[in-house]
Amino acid sequence: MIFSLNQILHKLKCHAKIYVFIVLQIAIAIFILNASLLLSVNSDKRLQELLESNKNEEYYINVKDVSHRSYYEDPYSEELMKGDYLDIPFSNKNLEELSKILSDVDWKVEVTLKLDLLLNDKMSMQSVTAIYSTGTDKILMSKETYEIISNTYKVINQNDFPFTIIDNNLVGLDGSIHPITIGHYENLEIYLPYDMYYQIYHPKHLTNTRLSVVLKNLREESKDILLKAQMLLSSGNSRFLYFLNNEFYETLADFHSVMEDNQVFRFISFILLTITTIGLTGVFVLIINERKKEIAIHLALGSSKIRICLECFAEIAILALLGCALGLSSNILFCMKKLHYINVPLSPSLFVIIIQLMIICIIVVISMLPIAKTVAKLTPMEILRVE
Amino acid sequence: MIELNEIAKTYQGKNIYTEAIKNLNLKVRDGDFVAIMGRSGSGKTTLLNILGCMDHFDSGCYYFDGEDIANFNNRQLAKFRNQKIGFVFQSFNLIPSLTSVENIELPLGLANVKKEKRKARAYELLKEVGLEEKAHHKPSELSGGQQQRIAIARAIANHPKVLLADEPTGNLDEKSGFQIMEYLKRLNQKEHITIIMVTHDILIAKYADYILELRDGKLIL
Repeated sequence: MIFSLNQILHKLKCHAKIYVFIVLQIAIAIFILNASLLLSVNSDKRLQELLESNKNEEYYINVKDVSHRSYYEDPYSEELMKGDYLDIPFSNKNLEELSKILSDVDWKVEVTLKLDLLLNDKMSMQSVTAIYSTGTDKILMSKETYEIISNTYKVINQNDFPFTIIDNNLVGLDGSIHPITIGHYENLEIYLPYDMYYQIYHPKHLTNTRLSVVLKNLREESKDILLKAQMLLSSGNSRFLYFLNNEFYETLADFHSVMEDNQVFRFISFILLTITTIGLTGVFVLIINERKKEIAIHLALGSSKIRICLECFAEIAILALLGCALGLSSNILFCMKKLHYINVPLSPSLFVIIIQLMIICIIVVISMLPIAKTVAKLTPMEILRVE
Repeated sequence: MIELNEIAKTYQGKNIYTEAIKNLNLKVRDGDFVAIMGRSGSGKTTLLNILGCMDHFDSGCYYFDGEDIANFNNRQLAKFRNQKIGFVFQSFNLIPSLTSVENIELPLGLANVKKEKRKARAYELLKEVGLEEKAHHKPSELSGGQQQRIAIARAIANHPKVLLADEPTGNLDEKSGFQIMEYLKRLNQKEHITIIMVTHDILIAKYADYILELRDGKLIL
């Protein structure tokens, strides 16, 4: 054995108070670091599980109209006029921006409205659901629906409807041609290309407008992509409320908050570990100065400076390991109680233990550098000079 | 066995250079008992430090059993100190937290001697210096003379060839001082250990085979 364990234990006993303080400091730093690493590891694991289980789902940004327009309360009133809903939750400018943000995913915007159409007697009305979608160029509607749309338009605008059906196409006065699929009248839904929103307008009641985003490969960044899209749509638009209406996103939001908290934990543990390293070094430099005579005797009797450094290293390593063990065991106790931080379970992890042991090794090595320097400066002759 | 040729040593302070040893020549044969005398500041301790490889010299050569010490690295020097040299200090320099037996075991431990052998040798030495019953006493529980005897036992634990004693009786009363000198003389004669002793007491120096005087860093026979 290179050096006596008894001697090291004896030295540890000599400075018991300060060593207990160091061990506790290391233990607290390790405890917080451990909690932080466990959060990272477990939240990553949990996130992967979530991503896996939500892989093939479709996600939306829903839009809610918060303007409280009340014209629809009396559909027969004189106020049934054109352009009541000229605003649109997804403007063309927004769409351009969205297409950049959503370049990696399949996406489409669908604005679902109720069109209030006047029937022939002009006294009764028919509601039709119109879905304006960026996902199609074709129009799907029945001939009957077309008739009542054009009729309503004429009544409200005192103008002819600007589209006519020619050979399965809806041809505009400006020469624009939209392919049309004739459906059944009983089906009161019509599908329209998104860019026709302003061309076929009537008093409308916004019912269910949403940005439908089909994520090809669901991954963590998907959350950020959708959050970006949500923020873009929300900026400068107080009329509509855009929200991610999916449990998955709520969970992701929780993860986001866990991550933010975790950064604070990491910062605290980093500060504590730095203070610990500096403290450990300072204390040992002082202790070596205190033991100068003893070290000089050892050197005179044939000990090498490397050996003296190894003894200090063993002392520091014992303290560091004690602190580490204390910090880790208290964490394991928490883990055994199956604690959760928000929705992340704090399960023990071998990987985290290994990482922490590595960090402890780094601390010990860093602490040793100034100590080794101090020992290197010592000369055995000092022992004779003090006489 | 020991040969110093033109050894010089200068200490450097802030713009002050002190020549502690000036081109010193010395030859010590196996089994010699040499006393070095000199006034304070004459370079006695520096010479002892150089002889014990605890300090480097600036120029000259130091041969020990024909080997040039200048060629030794720090590790070899440490081993050399442990195996070939024994130190006896004026203020004993025992480790206060260790017992007598543990203090004697110290150089043996550094030489990686096994525990059983270490213990046996330590008790053998304790018996030799007549302090068997003080084996488990700490230095603070021993008188000055007893402490110095333990220090001598520690110094010879590894059967060194040379014992370097720096004022070994300096902190002792007259009676204890002479007892220590009797013991050192016995070691020199029976064990043939070469002793180089620094002292300023002529009565103590007379125990040596020959006396050298160190004056301003130079030896005068």
